[in-house]
Amino acid sequence: METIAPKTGHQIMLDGMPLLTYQYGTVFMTILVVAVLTLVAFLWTRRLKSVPGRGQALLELIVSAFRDLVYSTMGPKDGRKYLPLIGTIFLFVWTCNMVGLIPTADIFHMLTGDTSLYVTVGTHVLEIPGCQEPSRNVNFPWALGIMTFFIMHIAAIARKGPAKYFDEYFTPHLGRFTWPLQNGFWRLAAAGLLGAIWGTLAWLIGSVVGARNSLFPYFNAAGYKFTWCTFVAASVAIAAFVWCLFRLSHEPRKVGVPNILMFPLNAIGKFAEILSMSFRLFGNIFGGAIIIALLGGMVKQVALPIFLQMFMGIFVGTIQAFVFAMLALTYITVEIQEDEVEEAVEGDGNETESVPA
Amino acid sequence: MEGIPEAIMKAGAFIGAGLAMGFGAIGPGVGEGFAAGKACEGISRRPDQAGLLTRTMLIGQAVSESTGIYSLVIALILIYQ
Repeated sequence: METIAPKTGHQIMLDGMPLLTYQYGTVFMTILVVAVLTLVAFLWTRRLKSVPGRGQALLELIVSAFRDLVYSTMGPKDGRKYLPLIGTIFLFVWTCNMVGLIPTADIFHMLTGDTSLYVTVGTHVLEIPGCQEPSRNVNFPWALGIMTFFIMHIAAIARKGPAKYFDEYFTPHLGRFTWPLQNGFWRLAAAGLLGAIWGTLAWLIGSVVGARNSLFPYFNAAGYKFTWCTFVAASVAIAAFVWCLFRLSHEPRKVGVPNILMFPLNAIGKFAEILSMSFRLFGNIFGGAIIIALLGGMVKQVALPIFLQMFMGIFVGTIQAFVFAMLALTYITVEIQEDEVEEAVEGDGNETESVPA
Repeated sequence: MEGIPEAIMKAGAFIGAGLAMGFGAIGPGVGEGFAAGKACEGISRRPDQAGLLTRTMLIGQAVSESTGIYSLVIALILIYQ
């Protein structure tokens, strides 16, 4: 009988490269958490009364705390719609972070002499490494982040319409096509004309005079004489152009026109906020698990792991679950709600209250 | 990469991981301490707003922590490469 090495995950290959890995522990614990949360929610809300009992009062306390939080950020109209989502994200992430507190590895070790549980499915032996936080795997926060990404962008398109939504990728706007209406355009045109005249003159003179003592002999490859005259004239033209651009950037802009140069920045920013949110959860939980394992191994499981679990497990887990939910809430709010920033800029500063002396 | 011995690569990766974590922890540490200090000032001025201030402080700290988390991720990649 040949021994088969226990598998901790199932890899999906694409062209010989691992594309996805299902970690059995992570998937198993996630399904378990979902089942437990569903069961608890179902049992807890089965018999709701208008005069709450003890359990219902606790439930109402939790829900109303989240309702106040979401309503104060989004307003009651949107908040009513997104409260279930934000509350569920928090409860799910929090429960997943708390799962690591259950010492299943020790229980397995006492019962079977191994820290993992082995399940035989057909010819395969699956290794389930006890109750590890699913958020220790980077794919868990990524899944939540991608979900938040789609929710906020689809909601934003549905709310503002595609034109206004995609217009935001080109902010801050630039008065690009309104240049002919502004003084800077004529300044720029004059500078460009002067530069062109200077450049042509310099090129003519330079090709005649400076053909012999070329400053950059290396540029002569294609027969083009890059002489010092050309260099000076080109510098003057470029300097005039840059000066005009600089002056133009201080002109008051009349009409905003989409700035295509801002598109890559904005597009990357949309992904970066989700990516950083996901990595934050993963890094905190995984880093905490490493620190618990390192320090706990140093003192041979005496007393320190309890305090480590209290800080790294309970405190950091709660804070990070809260932060994840709050960031999802903030990103969705920023994405779906109209910005009134431009109107605030329009004010001429006379609205400030005058303090009587 | 083929010409470098395994041991030297590992040593370099570990040194790099330590440097990444050490230098990457400076900024978030200073920033989070600053946020906590300012939140303390705010709470001492407006004790009735303590809940809101604490919440905002935690969010701000979590956001400013992200550079430290990035360096942690880099350190993990270096160690487990």
